[in-house]
Amino acid sequence: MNTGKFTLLFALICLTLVIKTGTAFSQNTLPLKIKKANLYAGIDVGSKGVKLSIIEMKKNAASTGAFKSIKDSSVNTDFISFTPSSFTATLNALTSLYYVAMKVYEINSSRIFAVVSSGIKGQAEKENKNDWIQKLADSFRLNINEPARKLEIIDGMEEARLSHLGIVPEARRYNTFLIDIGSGNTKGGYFRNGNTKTLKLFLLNWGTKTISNATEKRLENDKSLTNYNKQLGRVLAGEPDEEIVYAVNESGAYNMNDNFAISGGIAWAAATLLYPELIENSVVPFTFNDLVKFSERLLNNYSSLSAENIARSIQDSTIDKAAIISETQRVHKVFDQKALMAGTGLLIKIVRQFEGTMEKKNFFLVKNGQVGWISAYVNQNATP
Amino acid sequence: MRKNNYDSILYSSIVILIISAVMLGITGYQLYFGNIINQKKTGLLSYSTVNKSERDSLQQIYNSTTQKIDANVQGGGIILENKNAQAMLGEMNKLRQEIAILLKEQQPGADLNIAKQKIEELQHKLEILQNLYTNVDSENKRLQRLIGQLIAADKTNSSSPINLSFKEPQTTGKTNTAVAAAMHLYAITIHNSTEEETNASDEAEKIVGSFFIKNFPANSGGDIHIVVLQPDGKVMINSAWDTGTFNTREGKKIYSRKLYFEDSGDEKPLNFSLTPDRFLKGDYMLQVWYNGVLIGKTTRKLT
Repeated sequence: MNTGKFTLLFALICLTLVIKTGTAFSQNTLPLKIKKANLYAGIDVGSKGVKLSIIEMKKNAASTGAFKSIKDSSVNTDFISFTPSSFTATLNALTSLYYVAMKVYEINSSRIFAVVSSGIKGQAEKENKNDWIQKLADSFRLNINEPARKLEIIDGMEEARLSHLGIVPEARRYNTFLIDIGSGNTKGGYFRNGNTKTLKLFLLNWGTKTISNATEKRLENDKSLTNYNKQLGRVLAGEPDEEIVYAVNESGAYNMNDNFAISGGIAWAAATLLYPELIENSVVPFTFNDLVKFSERLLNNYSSLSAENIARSIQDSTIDKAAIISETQRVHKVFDQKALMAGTGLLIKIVRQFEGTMEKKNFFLVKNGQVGWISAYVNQNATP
Repeated sequence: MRKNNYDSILYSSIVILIISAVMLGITGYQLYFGNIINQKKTGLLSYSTVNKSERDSLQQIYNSTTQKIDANVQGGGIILENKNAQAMLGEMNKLRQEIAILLKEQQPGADLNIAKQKIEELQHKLEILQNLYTNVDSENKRLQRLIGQLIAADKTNSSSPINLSFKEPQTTGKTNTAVAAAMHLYAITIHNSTEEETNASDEAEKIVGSFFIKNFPANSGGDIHIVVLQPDGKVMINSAWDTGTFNTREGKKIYSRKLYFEDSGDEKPLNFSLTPDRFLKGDYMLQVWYNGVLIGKTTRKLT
């Protein structure tokens, strides 16, 4: 059986499974208040896998930054190893996720956007494998029977620019510095002089995982939490501190912005644990002092951050406690106590640079930053 | 002969069956429609009973509130020397008259909801008045203590200075006498690019509010938290970027909007507007909070 036929067969099997489970999906994952007419899908082919994001665009999305992440799922395929099996796995995932968006979420083809991320482009250029991207795009078009289907390649700068446009509402567009704390690095930027074509970039070679790894390395035989906290302080006071101070000064962000929005996994985790009342909000405001208290709580009173204890602290009966419990449990699955401490430590280091004594700045934690680019891409490409 | 017998039995059975079916139908009809009529009658009776009992219970709450007001006025001569308290008492007396008229009306359909709202407003003003009294009273006691200290110090001719510093309560740092006045909350619809007020939830495109802040601590500023509660009890949120939480004595609360207010001596209205995805039918409540204390509220019904 050749690759094409295999792919088609695999896609058909996946589609059958998807359609079979589709009814359950539509009933269980789509609450009644979600309007299908406002749903969009973005498929991102990344270096390590293919990710599907379903978002609901709210009324006046551009002016209020209101979109809601409905579903976020990914399949690991490792495209950048450029082997026939990784190619097939990527194509299958791309095709299947496309049909999930179309059949399960009933999203029209014109509202499904697929892109290839900058990581793949860079690696393909390095290894002279650009034709693999072209072949992937052609095979995808053939599989879904859409000869005109676009599979655009977006670079890092474009992704950051789109994230800013998608996450930050129009009213705050030219005075907001958006920082994405990833696992391996931290990047972000802001628009200068009312120009959304280019972003003043900000880049740090430190992320939550690199800070955590550097701390682990210093632990030696004493693996206690007290020692972890002590070593974390030393790691943060070293190279990351120098790099953060330099990058912030170089960006000129302090003087040019009133709002500082932080996205990434640690921002989502901190927002969920610190402000459970705002479970339905994709963005929550925070203060530097709240963050410092949160850091102390992580070390000294970690049990107070369990899903049950957080839900118990909610007094307002109109707030969905089940949703709080579920999201808090998700946070604890992604981050353990030490990872939360490392991420929060980095967050505090960065925010401290913008916490002015003379001028009051506004800080926000962005929970769904990973799908921000889609809403901007939708606005840019969707036909009314 | 035998066949004839069978035929007659068969015909009789059919006739009996038909008669039974008709009777069953009649019984069913009577049962079904009889119930509806009975339910309607019961409904009318219970409505009037409920209306009367609601009026009685409102009257009781009203009586108890007015007794508390009178007790405060008679028990605390100090209040009457305070200009803010005098103004507040004037507003309360007006409210008392309005409520009394509403509760006296015996005809059905008198809007008890309005009476209920006005009683709530009266109770809220009483809370502020009591707060004001407590502040005046505690300030008076503090000054008396201070005078006592000074007299004692003078008697002993001590050279050590008396500590005149007075520690503010750590919770607020400021005396909370601020009141939100002239509060308005209304829905807006847009016809031919012109904004018009509406009471219809399906026409509403945004909700607008305005109010004045009175008795704000002089030459100071602070955050005013605005909470708009929807008929389902949830806080109305325009954009996640504009909302957040604040602390009150009742615990953390979510605000719809935060405004910074600075006392500049001029009375300027504070305005805000919110554009939710949809408007529900029912009562919308605007609450204004300062320093974790509710300083005013009003409601608006959308049909």
